[in-house]
Parts: sequence; structure tokens; C-alpha cells
Amino acid sequence: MAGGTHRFLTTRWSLVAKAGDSDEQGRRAFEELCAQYWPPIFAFARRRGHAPDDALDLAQGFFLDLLARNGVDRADQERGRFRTFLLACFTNFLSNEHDRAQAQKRGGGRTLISLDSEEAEQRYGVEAVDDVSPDMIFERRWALAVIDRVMTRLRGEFADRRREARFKALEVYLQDPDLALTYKQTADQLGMSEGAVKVTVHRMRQRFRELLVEEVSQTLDEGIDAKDEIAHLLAALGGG
Amino acid sequence: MSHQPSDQPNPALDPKRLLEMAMEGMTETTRPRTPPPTSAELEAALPQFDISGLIGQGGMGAVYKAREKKLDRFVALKILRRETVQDPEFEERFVREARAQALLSHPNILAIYDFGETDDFFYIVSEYIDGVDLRQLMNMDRLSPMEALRLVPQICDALQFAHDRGVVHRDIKPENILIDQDGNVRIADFGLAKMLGGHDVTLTRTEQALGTPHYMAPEQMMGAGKVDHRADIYALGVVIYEMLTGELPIGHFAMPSQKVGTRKELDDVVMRALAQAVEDRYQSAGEIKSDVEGVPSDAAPSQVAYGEARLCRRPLVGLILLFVGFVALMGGAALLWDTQVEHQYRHQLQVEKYAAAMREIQVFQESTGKAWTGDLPVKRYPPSEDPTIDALSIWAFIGAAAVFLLLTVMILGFSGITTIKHSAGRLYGLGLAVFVAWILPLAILNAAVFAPLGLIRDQDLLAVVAVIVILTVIVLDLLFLRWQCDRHRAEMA
Repeated sequence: MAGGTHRFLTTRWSLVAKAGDSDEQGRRAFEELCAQYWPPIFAFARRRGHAPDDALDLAQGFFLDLLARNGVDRADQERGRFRTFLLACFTNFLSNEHDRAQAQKRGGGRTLISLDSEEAEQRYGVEAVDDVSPDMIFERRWALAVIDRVMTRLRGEFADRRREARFKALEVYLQDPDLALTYKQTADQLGMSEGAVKVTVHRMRQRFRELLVEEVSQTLDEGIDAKDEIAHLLAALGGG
Repeated sequence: MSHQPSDQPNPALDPKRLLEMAMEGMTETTRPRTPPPTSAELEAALPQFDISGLIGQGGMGAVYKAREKKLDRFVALKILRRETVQDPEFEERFVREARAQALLSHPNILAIYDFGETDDFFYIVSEYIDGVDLRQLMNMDRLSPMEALRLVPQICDALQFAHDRGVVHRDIKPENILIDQDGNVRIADFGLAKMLGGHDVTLTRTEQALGTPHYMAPEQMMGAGKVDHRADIYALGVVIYEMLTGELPIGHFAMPSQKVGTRKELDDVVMRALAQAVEDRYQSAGEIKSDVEGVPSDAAPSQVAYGEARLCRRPLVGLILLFVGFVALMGGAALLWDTQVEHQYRHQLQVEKYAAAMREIQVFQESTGKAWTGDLPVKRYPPSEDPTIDALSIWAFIGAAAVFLLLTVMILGFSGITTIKHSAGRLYGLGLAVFVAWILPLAILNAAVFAPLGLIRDQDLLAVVAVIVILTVIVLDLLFLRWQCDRHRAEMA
């Protein structure tokens, strides 16, 4: 998957924020971030009443526009968090039809998001909850995108070779400590020892945490605590 | 650039719960640890010590090197801040375990001198070891299996001693195994795990902070059933495996013999120590010790055991060179000899022809009284140069080539021996190397022994004596080579 293999020394967002117009590395980092966090943008547009096709077009155009402009300088106050930056930019973009038309030109027909609207709708469409504002939808989607990404990376790390099934069986332990009672049963199913299951789960939890901090940090400028952001995402999901 | 998540998220997973769990864990592990007390702070609280400096810091607190003023000796001072211990029963457990530890007076167990508490700290004063812990030792350089096996019996002694007195360590791992400058083992922190964690070792902050459940026996990890000394045995199994292979025995791990070519007997020791069920495991550390000591002393990778060992090329090259050189020199010498004989024969022929012609001319002149005006009957006059002079220089060249060959082969042989000895079992062919190294010196020596045989004039006697002498010399040569081999092998082990 795109971006999964790159590890930048500084966080990617701070890299983008610092990068000059011609900085190739900063540009790539920015592209990767955008590619990763388009679902919240799509959901936001849907919630604002755009049809699936339109929403996808808007998201597409918005990102291409951002990329074409290296438009980072536009949101200086929002610079600390990629999340708030992106939402501010998008709101701005939506309120400006001119920008939208321009974006098609600037993008030059490139595709950033390669989903058809039906598929996007199916996977990232808005939940049928009426009392939720577009901003809240955005944040919730954002949190899900982060978790999705962390889980994909974790799966990639654990499920190399033949451990796919093992990961599938064990990932549920990531969220529920009370399931510990079923270790024995799971161990039998997987042909592992109970001890091994316990160790693996322990390591999965630890790694989940590390990856979460890493992913979240990538959307933050230096000096912002990843834990605060995680707490914010948790609140967005209605917990915490 | 396209981007799609590669898998649909598992619908059974609740993102909110995932984040909550992660947050909980994070506050556990990333809770800012209280900084270790400063030297001044400690000296104020414990005036009997001069604090030399912080030497270690773990989940359980900080360790300082200190000088005990009254006795003028160095000690290790382990400090635990009172505020980090919220458990009301800790104090009682601390005293009980410290006393139990102090009873363990054994050369391989870190001696406890004193313990106590101040307003701010709990502290334990112990022997100070000028050395490294096993983790550092393994990180510095891969331990050779021989070195590893030298440490194991000492660890076993310490464990057996403690177990006999009813003390279980509960946290055997490389960080707790200290090795002093002379290579003597001291096991540190007996009972500390129990002191800190009560019964459920898994869930203590110590464990969270150190994050290494790898040395924990299955029954200990599950927190089910009673954890006894056999948990230490399991941990020791992990440590032995790690010492031998440099890796932890996780998942479907390879036997040490497959991985690094140690002897198969060690596989059995490791596997028995690592048995999942306590009853299948070694029941005492002493058994491990005697089994490890029972493994033949070439437990270091031997030529046979090393699957990937290859033949050392140097002696092989030497052998080929010896053969080719010998054939070339012999052939050259034979050819030269032949040429020289031929050359001398032709020369002689010329001389004779010339002499015959001259005689005929003389006869002609004497019988006719006229001088000979015709052609000479031979085309060439006898060559003025002595043919033997030319041959001498060639013989000298052959001699030099022989000496060169001799030295080259010897060097190849001896450097082969050295390389094999330092290859830690990755190369074999010691016998060949010894043969190549010594064959020419032996040949010269043998020739010197055979030379006096030429003095025997009686052919029958010569035959008998020659056979006896040659056989004796060959046997002596072989014995010598064998002795050399044994000597080098002994040095390798």
C-alpha cells in the first residue's frame, strides 16, 4: 500500500509544513497523507448534502488542488494538526465554486482517489444518524481512518506468511481484556499453546499502541502530544 | 497515485474499544517515571554512603554504585521510591523477601548486605560487582557456545542453592545475571519480582515497564496455578537458548544444533528446560548442570556437527601445488638430464670426427708431401664451451624452484592450520593441512636418514636394512603427523 513503506525521520506533517515549494520529499509526504485521509473528506462532503458522485469529485478535486498549489501556507493557524488543517481547507474549498472549477484544470486529469462513487459510498458513506454534524462525521471518519491504517500495518507485520489466520483470530483481543478467559479455547483452535497466545496478544497490544502513536504523530507538528490527539479521536467516537 | 485500504476492517472490532484499550495501556507504560533520586538527595537520606553514580535503572527503581564509608567498600545500592509503591502490603513483603535473600549466601548469588527504608525510599545494599550483565555480554559479542556452557553450571548452582532454601527467583533473565571480571556468575534480584509483584507477576508495573514476558514460564504468564522453582528452570532454558543462538525461542524455533551447530545433546537439555508442562520439565537446576557438564567437551562447534562447514582451501591448494610441482620438477630434471647426456654425446662425436679427420689429413700430407687444400671433412669444429657449465645453472634453477615450492607448500599448510583453528568450526581439513605443512620437511629429514644406507656395499644386506628403515621412518612420520593433529585439535577445544 502506498506510503506504508516510507518512514520519515520527522513526522510527515511537520515535514510538509516545513517543505518549500520545490521540495520533492515534502511533496511526496503530503501526497501520502492526503491519500490516506480522503475518506473523512468524502464523508464530510456527503453529510453536507452532496451526492456520492459529486462528493467523490469534490474530494478528488480538492486534493489535486491542494497538491498542485502546495497549498500549505493557506492555513497557518491550523498548521499544528493535519486534521484541522485539512478540514479548514476543505470548508474553504467548498465555499468557493471558482476553486472547484480551477481544480479540474490544475489537476490535469490526474487521479488521486481510485474508487468509484458507489464503492466509496458503500465503504465510507455516512451512517444513518441524523443528529450528527458534518464536522463530527469528519472527525469520526478521521478516527476510523487512523485505526484502519494502524490495523492494516499491524496485520502486515503480524500476518506475514502463514500467520494470517492467527492474526484474524487474535485481533479481537486487542479490544477486550475480558476475553482472556477464552485464551485456552483460541489456543486450541490455532494449535498454539496458551502461553504463546498470551505472549502474542501482549505483543499485539503493545505494537498497536506504538503504531497508533506513530500514525497519529504523523499528522501532528512537532511538539504536540500524540496522546491528546488520540484522546480527541476517542471523544469523536463517542468514548473517553 | 491510488490508495485503498487493503482489507475490509473486521466488523467484529469496535474502533472505540480499540482506542480505549490503547489509551489504557499507554497510561500504564508511558506514565512519566519519577526521575531517579540525585546523589545529593541520596547522601542526605543515607549519610553512611558516598554515592559514586547511577549504574542502572529499571522498572523497579534505580541502582547506584556507592562507597560504604565505615567499611570502605563499594556496594550496589538499589533504591525504590516510596511513592512508586502504592501497595499497602509492600512494606511487609519487602522485609520478608529481603530477609529471605540475605539468607542466600552463595558464591554465585549477589550477596545482600543490608536493607532498610527512609522517609522517601526503600533501599537494598548489596555486593558491588565490577563487570557486566549477561545482556551486555551478549550484546558486545556473540558468546561462543563454550563460553555459554561455562556460565550455565554456575547459574544452576545458584538456582539449586536458592531452590533448596525455598526461594524462587521468578525473574531470571540476562539482565539479572552478572558476570565479574574473572568470569564468575552472580545472580541478582532474587525474590525481587515477588517483592514487587506479590503473586501475580504478569501484571506488575515492573513487568509492564520492562516489557519482556519472554523469559516467563507458561504457568507464570497465565497467573494460574502455583508458580514454583520450575518457573526458574524454564527461564533458564530461555536464557541458555538465547546464549547459544542469540535469539529467543519463540514460535517454531530451530534447535541450537541446526542453528549454530552445537551438539545434539544440548538440544535435549534446552527442550527439556523449555517444556510447557511443569512435570515434563527438569525438576531441578542441578539436573541441568549435570546434563550440560555431561555434554562432551567439544560442545563447541565441531567439524562434524557444523552442517555448513567447508573444506579449508589452503591445504588443498598446497597439496595440488606439491603434486604439480613435484611432477614438473621431476620431469624437468629428467628432461634436462636426458638433454645433457645427449649433448655430451654429440659433443664427443664431434670431437672424435674432428680428430679422425685431422688424422686423415695428417696421413694425406705425410704420404703425398703436399699440404691439404680441400674442405675440412667436418663442418663444425668442436664447440669450445664446456656443456656441463650450462647444465649447472639449470640445476641451480631447479634447486631454487624446489626450495620455493617447499616453502610455499609449507606456508600454505601452516596458514591452513591456523585458519582452521580460528574458524570456530566453519572449516575442516586439519589433517590435510598438517600433512601439507610437514610433508616436505619430513621428506628432507627422511632423505637424511636414508643417505647413510648408501654406505652399505652388500646388496642383500642393503635390501633388508633399507626395507626396515623405510618402514620405520614411514611409521614415525605418520605418528608425528597424528601427534601434530591431536595437538592442534586440543588447542581448538
